[in-house]
Amino acid sequence: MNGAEETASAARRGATLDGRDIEARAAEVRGALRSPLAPARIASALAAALDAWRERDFAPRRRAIAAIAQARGWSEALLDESFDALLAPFDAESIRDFARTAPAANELVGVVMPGNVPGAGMHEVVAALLCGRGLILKTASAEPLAFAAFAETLREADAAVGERIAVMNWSRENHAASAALGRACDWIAAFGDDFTLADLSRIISAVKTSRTLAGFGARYSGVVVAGPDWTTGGDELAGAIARDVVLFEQQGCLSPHQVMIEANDAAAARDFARRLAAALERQAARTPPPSRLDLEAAAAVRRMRESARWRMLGGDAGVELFEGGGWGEPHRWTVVLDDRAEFTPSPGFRALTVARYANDNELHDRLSRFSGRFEAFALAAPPARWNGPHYILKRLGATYICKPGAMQSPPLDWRHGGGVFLERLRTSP
Amino acid sequence: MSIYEQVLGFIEAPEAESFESLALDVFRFQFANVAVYRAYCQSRGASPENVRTLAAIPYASTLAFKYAEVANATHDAAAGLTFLTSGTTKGFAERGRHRVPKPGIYRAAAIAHLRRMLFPDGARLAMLAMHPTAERMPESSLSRMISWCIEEFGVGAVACVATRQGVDAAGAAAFLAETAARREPVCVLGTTASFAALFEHLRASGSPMRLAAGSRIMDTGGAKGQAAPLSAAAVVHAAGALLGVAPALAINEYGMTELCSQLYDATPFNCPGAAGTPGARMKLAPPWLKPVALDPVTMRPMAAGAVGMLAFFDLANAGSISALMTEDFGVVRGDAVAILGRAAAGEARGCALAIDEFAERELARVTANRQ
Repeated sequence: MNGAEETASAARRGATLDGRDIEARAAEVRGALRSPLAPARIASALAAALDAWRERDFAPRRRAIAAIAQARGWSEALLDESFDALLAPFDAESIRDFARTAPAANELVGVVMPGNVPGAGMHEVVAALLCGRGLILKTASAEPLAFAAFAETLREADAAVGERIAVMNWSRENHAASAALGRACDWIAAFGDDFTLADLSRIISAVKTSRTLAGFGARYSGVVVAGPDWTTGGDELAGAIARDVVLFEQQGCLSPHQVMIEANDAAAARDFARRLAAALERQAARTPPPSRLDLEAAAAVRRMRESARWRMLGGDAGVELFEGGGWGEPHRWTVVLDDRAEFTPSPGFRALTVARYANDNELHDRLSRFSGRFEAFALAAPPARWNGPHYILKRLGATYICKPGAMQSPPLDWRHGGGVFLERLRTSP
Repeated sequence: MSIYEQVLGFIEAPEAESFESLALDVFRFQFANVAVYRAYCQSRGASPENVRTLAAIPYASTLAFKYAEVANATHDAAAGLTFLTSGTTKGFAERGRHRVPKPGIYRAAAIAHLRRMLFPDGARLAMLAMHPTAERMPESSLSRMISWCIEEFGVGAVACVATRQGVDAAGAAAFLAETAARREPVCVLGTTASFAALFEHLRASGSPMRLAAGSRIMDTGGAKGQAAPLSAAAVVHAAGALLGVAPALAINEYGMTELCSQLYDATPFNCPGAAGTPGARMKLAPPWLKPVALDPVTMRPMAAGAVGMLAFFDLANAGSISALMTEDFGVVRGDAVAILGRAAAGEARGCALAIDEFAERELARVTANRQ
């Protein structure tokens, strides 16, 4: 069975699920929770499973990546590099450290997984299990495979730990199943676009007459290059940023949309945009871009390019368009130098804006429109210039600030989305 | 004969077989005289020397009108009319502008297709404008079109109940009640948002009416300006339920400032045999407007019936740029188009995280703590 067929097959199985199936699995997981497990044992099982998944030739990982690649048109090389980055923080020591301070509670948590980024949600899964919770994962129809395979690995590592997680798949339209998830679990965490969340909230609230809702909208990430020193090692810096951009095809909340570069003159920003374009081309040679884009994604990239193209034709000297892939050829990457741009969301698929700023105040002003909606920033700055931008990014709500090249590898205790999930785990019922 | 005279002649007496050669003449004229389009074509490697078919003419994005000065060197800037795209968040300065050096061509195109699609029965009617007319909003191409429509097809009572500030739904209802009392058929023209306001007023006042037979409506703009957008089907349904307008006479227009030509719903009223169901309607282009669905990656036409980015070659745009790619998705079959919606501009994707906590447990916990 190829990737598309496996995905379709999972969807077919999901279509036949009804509320009783979800409730039955929930009862099984609750049953498993009745047998207490030491946090160290859960940590060992997770460490073993994640160690296995960090190996590129681990058979379940290979199968999952091949299937995802085929279903989405993404390259296996890209997925391998993306999974490497995602799984890097989950080493045995970090897991054990987290387990030592994790407050345990006997709760069943439903997690509606995202479909945009394969493997996204791993932080929440690991943290919840380490905190003694049982999990029902409802995988996205677009990506039903990776977590099902990971749960199987976990069961092989330690059956008792594996019994604490059930991975199921049903479609958004299967309201009975979603409502059953709401009934069966103590609480629900949901990833997804705003529409999905609103839809899900409506369905679940129909079965629970009163509830509190803590939610927030989509989140954005970016890069800040501060200080004048970047030109030495500029290609290396551009390469690290290019890697942050291309992993997961720029579809996740950790993927940067824009680079803000501190420079007094436009030529410096142009030089950096050129280097970034060259780095994206090098990265494309190593991790090829998707073999196909859906119509909406292609149209969004087209719009970004045409906006820049017509601004240039209209005489806007502050704009320059760098395109990977010639006219009429598949998109490889897009860099728009937009000298004075405020933070601008990208359509993804290796497309981003480079903008210049003069000082910290201006950096704050150009980002402030998205205050409270930032997730991560890569910050490249010499030690003497680190604090100012770091303070600004924190104030604007960034939950993870790292060096370029590490954006897709936040630590296990990353406060994703402002930490609402971790805080909920740490609140004993 | 000038290129404008040729285009006008085509609009007045279309000959399908001469479309392509005239389109190529228009392309050559625009390449020679619209500097920004010439620069765009040259960046694509296209020139009159190597463009020999309609399919080879480069489509410019409608964003051209927003970001560049689309000026025709054969006219000074003050010639003709200038229309602005509807402003949104960025204000007046960021609105696109379409200079139309020969408004006579625009008028001829608008009237000819209105006659075919909204007045195929040859009627002249009372007219109600629920969008400002041209003297109230000269920069609006829709306003201009509505004024032309009133001039050409209006007779008897005429009213405009809209200003820049909004539509007077009560005034519209009063005007319509009077025409209904006189059993005088009326044509109501406006944005979908203005119809939403009228329908809401009629519902709230509990006074649906029955307009005289032959009354018709034309709405345009779709979801634009509406908090809870009315679907095409909802407009047709409400027009029937609240105004007594027959479904086939509730006709949606698709147009934009950047195009001098428009498309209208094909219904059994203007196109015998057309689907009557609002959700299944296609829109018909006039003979001087050639629609195509493009692949946004290759910019080549999609197969017939496949979804793509809608693009048009509009002869009536002879004074600016005729080959334009919109930001709308659609399906094209000959001169019929299904509009499927607008391409999103870089939406955030789903790493959003929400937590639903169920208050039963919360409540139990709080209660337990208190105890």
